[in-house]
Amino acid sequence: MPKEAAIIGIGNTKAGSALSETREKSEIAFSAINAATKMANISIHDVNVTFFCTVDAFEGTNRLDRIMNSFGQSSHIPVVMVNTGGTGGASGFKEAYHYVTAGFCDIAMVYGASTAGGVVDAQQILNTAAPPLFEKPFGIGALQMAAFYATRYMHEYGATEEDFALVAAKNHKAAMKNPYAHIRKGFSFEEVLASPMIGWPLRRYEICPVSSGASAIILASEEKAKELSDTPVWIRAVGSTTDTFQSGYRDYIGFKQLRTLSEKLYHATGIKNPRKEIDVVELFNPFSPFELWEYEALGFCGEGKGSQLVREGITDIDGELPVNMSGGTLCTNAGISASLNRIGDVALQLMGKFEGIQVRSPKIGLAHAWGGNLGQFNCIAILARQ
Amino acid sequence: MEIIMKKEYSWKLDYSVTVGEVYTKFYEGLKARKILANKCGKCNRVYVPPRPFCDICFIEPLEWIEVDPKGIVQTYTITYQKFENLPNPPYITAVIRINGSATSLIHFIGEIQHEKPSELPEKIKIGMSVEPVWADEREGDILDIKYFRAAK
Repeated sequence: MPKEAAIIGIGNTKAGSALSETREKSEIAFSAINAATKMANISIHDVNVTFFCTVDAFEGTNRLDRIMNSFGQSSHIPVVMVNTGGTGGASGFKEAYHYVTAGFCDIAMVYGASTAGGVVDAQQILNTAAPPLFEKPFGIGALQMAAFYATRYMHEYGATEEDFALVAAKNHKAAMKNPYAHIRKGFSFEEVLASPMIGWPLRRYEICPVSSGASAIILASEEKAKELSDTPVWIRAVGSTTDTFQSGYRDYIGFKQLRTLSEKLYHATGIKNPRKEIDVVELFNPFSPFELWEYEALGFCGEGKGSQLVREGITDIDGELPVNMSGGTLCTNAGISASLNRIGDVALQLMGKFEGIQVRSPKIGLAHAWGGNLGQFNCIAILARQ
Repeated sequence: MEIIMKKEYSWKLDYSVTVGEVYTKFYEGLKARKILANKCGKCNRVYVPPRPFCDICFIEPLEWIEVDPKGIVQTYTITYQKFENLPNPPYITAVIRINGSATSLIHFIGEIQHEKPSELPEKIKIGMSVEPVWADEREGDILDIKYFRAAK
């Protein structure tokens, strides 16, 4: 029987534009790591294993684990690098969870430095993630891949450009109250719909920015968590799923594998009615329409009914199931932080320490992220205060 | 306004990748204006582009067949913004399933009549039939097909 593990520390930096960042990359990570160790009541020297998550081409070096040099840790501390694209933070978290629950270590740290710092044109880099022989020559980046899913969803279920704008506006509104978010303009539904079309059907305010920011999370074993923290957030389940690299295998209709994964984890945690039993959710929406079919895959509504959930305000502030009170990846995408923050923000909500819109007394939270060649990898973490 | 000092560097890395016999045969087919596919003996899936082994059954070899190059559009997008080293906008990229194959190709769509770029989304339909337009000069590459157009 694996042991229990909990999140005892979370550290973030206030996000801003990657282009106008004044701090060097490792300084930003330093700031997030210090905040996490402080909350965890530990020193950096107490960490047994470090997981550094990133996406190579964004960092401008292929020796990514060296970005932070040794940051005060002895040479016995393993540094494990995890790269599953944009969901690297979540995958790194999963690895850390495995190490702790398998008893390999008591305290693990997962972090991402400010991944996009130094990037000149993100789409060009994302194009390097496309399969080189048959997809890269067509100028495919995350934008086009995301648009493929959005176009198909409109065709399958009659979702409209207005639906996409509505869910984007919901996130923008929530981000206004989140001091750690990058885009805090609170774009209205009308402003989103009026923003320029970048890759049909995706408009500018439905697409994430390139942000600067770092995040760190400290995980601890059951004994250490109880010793060190007054507000441990217990990790009830973590899982991931893998789709093909070559996207030609996909039908572009939602994330079926995410559906399978969520059912598996709900079964493992005894959740029978996710919409009722889960209190707070952070899911991955660098392109706002994805939120709609992620609701479906996560079992919050039936197939094709994601738009209805938004129109009825179910996932809004003060809704039955608040989703992305942080503003989501749509408003802040600093690379790895984008996936790590989904977990960190849910944990902060459960601790009652979220500095934006705090959901009232949540007990169970779900964090989700995807990455790789668009949705190649999907990760879920289910967290609880008890 | 403080000045943010930056240092620039870039990667310019060259790669020369062996494509293997199966892709070589596919590319030679393209040069001859044919679309060659292969089929798994166990699950009967037809692959375009062909595969060195069936990814689902994890077996090889696969039987070669030439397919009628018409395809059906599965989904598409129109890129309106210019990005470094990516094509000039507007350009249409689509996911196309050639002749009922199990996997799709990504390619450009061209020859869509329009007056303004904003009209493009409604001119392309999921489910429309498309056919390749071959480049005059072909070298054994996916771009031996210049783009796909509405099938006549």
